[in-house]
Amino acid sequence: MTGETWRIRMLQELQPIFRELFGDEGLVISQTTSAADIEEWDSMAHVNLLIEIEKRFGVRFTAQEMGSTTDVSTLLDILHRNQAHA
Amino acid sequence: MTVVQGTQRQNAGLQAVREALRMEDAERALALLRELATPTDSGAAQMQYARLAKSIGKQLGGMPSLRVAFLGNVTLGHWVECLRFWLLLEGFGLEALVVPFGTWPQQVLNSGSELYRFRPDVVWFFLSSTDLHLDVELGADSRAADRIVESAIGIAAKHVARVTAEQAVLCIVNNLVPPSNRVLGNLAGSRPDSAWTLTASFNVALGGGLPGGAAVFDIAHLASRYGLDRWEDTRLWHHSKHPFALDAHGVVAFAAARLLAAARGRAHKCLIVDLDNTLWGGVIGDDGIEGIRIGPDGGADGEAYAVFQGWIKALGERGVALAICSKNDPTLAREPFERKAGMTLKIDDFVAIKINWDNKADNIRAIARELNIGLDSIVFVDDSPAERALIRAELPMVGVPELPDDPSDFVSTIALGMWFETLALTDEDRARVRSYRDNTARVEARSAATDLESYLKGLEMQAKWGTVDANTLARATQLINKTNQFHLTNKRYSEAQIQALLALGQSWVGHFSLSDRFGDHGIIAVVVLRFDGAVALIDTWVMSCRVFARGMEDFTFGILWNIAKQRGCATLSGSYVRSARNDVVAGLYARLGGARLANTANDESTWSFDLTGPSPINSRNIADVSGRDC
Repeated sequence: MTGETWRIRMLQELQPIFRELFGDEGLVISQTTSAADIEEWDSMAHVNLLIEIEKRFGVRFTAQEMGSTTDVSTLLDILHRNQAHA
Repeated sequence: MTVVQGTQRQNAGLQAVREALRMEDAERALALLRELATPTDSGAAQMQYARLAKSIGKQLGGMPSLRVAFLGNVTLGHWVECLRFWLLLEGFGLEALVVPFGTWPQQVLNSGSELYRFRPDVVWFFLSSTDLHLDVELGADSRAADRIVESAIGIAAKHVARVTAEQAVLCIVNNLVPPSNRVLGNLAGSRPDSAWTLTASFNVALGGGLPGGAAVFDIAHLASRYGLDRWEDTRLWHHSKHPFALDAHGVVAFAAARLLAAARGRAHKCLIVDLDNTLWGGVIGDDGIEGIRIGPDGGADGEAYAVFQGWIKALGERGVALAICSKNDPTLAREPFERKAGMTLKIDDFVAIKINWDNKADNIRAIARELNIGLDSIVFVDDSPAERALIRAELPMVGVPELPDDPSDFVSTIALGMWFETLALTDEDRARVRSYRDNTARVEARSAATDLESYLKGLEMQAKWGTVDANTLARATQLINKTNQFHLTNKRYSEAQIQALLALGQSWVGHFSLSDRFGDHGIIAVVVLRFDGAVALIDTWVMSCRVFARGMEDFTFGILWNIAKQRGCATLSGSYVRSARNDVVAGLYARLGGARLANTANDESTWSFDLTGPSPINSRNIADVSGRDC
């Protein structure tokens, strides 16, 4: 699977998690979405998002990664790196 | 495999809750969540519950709300949401204030602060060893270490005292979780100059070092039970200053919710147990007295049942009323208590016994009536899933723990349910079982007496009363907060609030105790009387259900009348505010001869008594012995 195909498939898997966590059934995320685009994406929701993703995909973010992952693109980068290690 | 099944069950369960919410059936959503959620569920699951709890709370409405302010230098946002969910299961809404980072001492010391403007019911100190300067240098001797501990407790105590002087609230203070990584390694536990020893000493001394009425939240126990390695999440600490792992949030929130509910009168008072396969292994009717398994002769099962009996006996000793509800032959089922070796419990340990073939829901109702307690203060333990399901359906207010198959796990199942939390243990608690048993003797005396009047006379009742002071404050406060039935206005007061009322001099807070020839009940009634010019207002009047229908309310009213009159008042007035539980006093003021104010309704009526008229008839059957041994 090429990096881009992987990213697009992953984006589809992340979509329902974002919708549920931010309580917006119509939310559409893209690779350019960031915390600035979603009003509910505050520091608390951020932790919720990351622990939900950790649980669903069996990954574990470092403290540093938790702090830097405030947009979808970086999130995909980290998930991809973890995927590669697995 | 089980993990996957667990997750699937969870997701299906959450889906059903969301569906119920979409149908705007918040009651059903809450019932489903109650079945689904356990405190040990993951942090992610807890956050899902918390989000749903918010919607359910909004749809339900009308729940009593608790205003809780949290002080500390840690991130509590997730935990507070988690607490909101677990408090919802206890029947409370939550209004929370988490003070900003680094501000808690100023919040406490500054009268105009956000903390005091919030007007909390509860102030919760979520402090760390850093906040309390609990830090020791290697090489310090035990005297130096003691001084550091003393000073740390002094910091907590000083701030608690300041809060309660400012506003009458309940203060709860966390103790400290010992650090898992020890620079001294194995030596840490046996040297005075280690963080571990310092934390342990602090925790031992904290309860006694705080002002009266403040409570300790034993978070150290929760952490050790959970396991320190799983408890600490250094990653989340470094990222966002979460005090413990998200996965531990449910456990801590559940314990906090149980404690808050107990502080607000939702304590459980009675444990009803089944017999066969609950107190012993086997079925007495089938296996006979030789065949049932209890004690060392009964193998591993017998050992486990004996430990469970010991646990139940200890609950009885701390004031939980014990009762039996068993489908059995009454003669046969009593035999093990009399002559089976290995039985820790004796028949005298129980204050109510229903051994028959009737429906258990009816039996539990009868026990509640006999002991005069609410069904929601009962916990029912039975090994049979069918009986548990019946009681959950018929009497949803009764606490029914899910009992595991293995009796080895019975004790921890009941303990983890935290059914019997309390802020204080009073002499009255420890004497309660005796008091219930004395009541049984009273019931027998009553059936022997030909009429009520001669029965009451025969009781030889003696009452004492006085102003609440340091010796009676804990019990008086406990009674105000625990009483639901004989409670005219449903008001709750903390110890600090009572102290404040007494200090202001515009009120009288009195306690009443009653004894008779069968035993001493201790303090069974408390009244808050407020004076406003020529009017004395009965602000709060509570009485224990153990002394209903003895004329004690007439005795109390006579005393209130005299106190108001001596104070120079012309009118005594009181209100009745209906709650789900206080029907028993709906007609009290009318019976005492009060005049209802024209503009007040049935559910919230105000009554007045003309103090210039003739005094009410005091109870003829209760002697006032207040002066005799004071």
